[in-house]
Amino acid sequence: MDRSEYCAQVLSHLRRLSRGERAAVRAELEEHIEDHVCALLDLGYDESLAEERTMAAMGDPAEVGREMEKQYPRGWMILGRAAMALTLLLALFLAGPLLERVPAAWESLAVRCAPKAVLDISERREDFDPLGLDAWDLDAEAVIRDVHFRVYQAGYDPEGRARIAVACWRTNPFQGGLDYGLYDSYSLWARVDGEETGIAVQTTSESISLYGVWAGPGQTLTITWEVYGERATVSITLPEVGP
Amino acid sequence: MPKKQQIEHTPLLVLSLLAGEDMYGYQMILELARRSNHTFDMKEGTLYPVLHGLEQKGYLEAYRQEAPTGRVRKYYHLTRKGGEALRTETESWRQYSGAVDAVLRSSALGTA
Repeated sequence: MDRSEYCAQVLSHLRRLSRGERAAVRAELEEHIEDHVCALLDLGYDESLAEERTMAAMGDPAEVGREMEKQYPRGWMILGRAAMALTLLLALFLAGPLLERVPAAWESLAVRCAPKAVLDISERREDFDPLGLDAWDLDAEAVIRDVHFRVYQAGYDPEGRARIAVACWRTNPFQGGLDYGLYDSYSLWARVDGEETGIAVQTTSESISLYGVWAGPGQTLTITWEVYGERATVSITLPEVGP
Repeated sequence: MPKKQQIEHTPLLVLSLLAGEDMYGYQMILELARRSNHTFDMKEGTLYPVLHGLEQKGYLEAYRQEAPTGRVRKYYHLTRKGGEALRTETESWRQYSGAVDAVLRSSALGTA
């Protein structure tokens, strides 16, 4: 029996070991055999006799293999891992209802950390585009606590009246970040160049509204919202004719 | 020259060998033979299941390093846990051998 056959016989008993572990065992045995053979060669043995004596000194490869196999209780390890996997699956099953909340939680977090990114008004324009191609995109915002008011479009009707599209929503961390329905109504009114000729007081809870006001290019429209007993104002200068 | 005997306490002997320095397998065989005056003449392949078992228990750690021969070898190092096991097992062995010795001495006196 040569060293290759010896190692192969030892490895034939190592069923629980991974490929890497088996390779490591083989390498270690081959290194030991090499050390022993070299020591005998140094003593003047010829190569074949040195190999033969070394194999005899190594002992029964079947016994070595069986004893080595016992040192790797992989069966229990597999059972342990299977138990862990089952526990994980059970935990996921139980946590399913919570996982459904993950997107809402993510949006809630985004609203808190990067509100501008979440409250991108362009989506609202796609959802509700009352003024169409003849409108200008705007983004004037007023905030009262968790309520965001935005003027996101402006344009003129054929009669020369200015039209403005206004959106409103709450940032509600407990309802998925954004809440397009207000539980409380809010009031809105507008002035043109400081005069009370704009929009009279409107009380509503609509999330998107379209208002008409007699005002023209270059005039300043000052819009005020009131909710929760607080007020916020934005001023926009109406654009020139043509988008 | 005492009769060569089968080693029954190889793990204890291995832990003891490694208490002094890190060694690789063939080096341990040579050192064990030298220190026991060739009393412990084990089949060399059977050392490795013992080493791997001790490693699995955390008593030993292995690493690869170039040996004085210039060849890279797998060295074993006694861990803190292995050191504690060595102390415990050494004490157990001393109690056991002391008890055997006491019985032998009493028998020798009886037959004298």
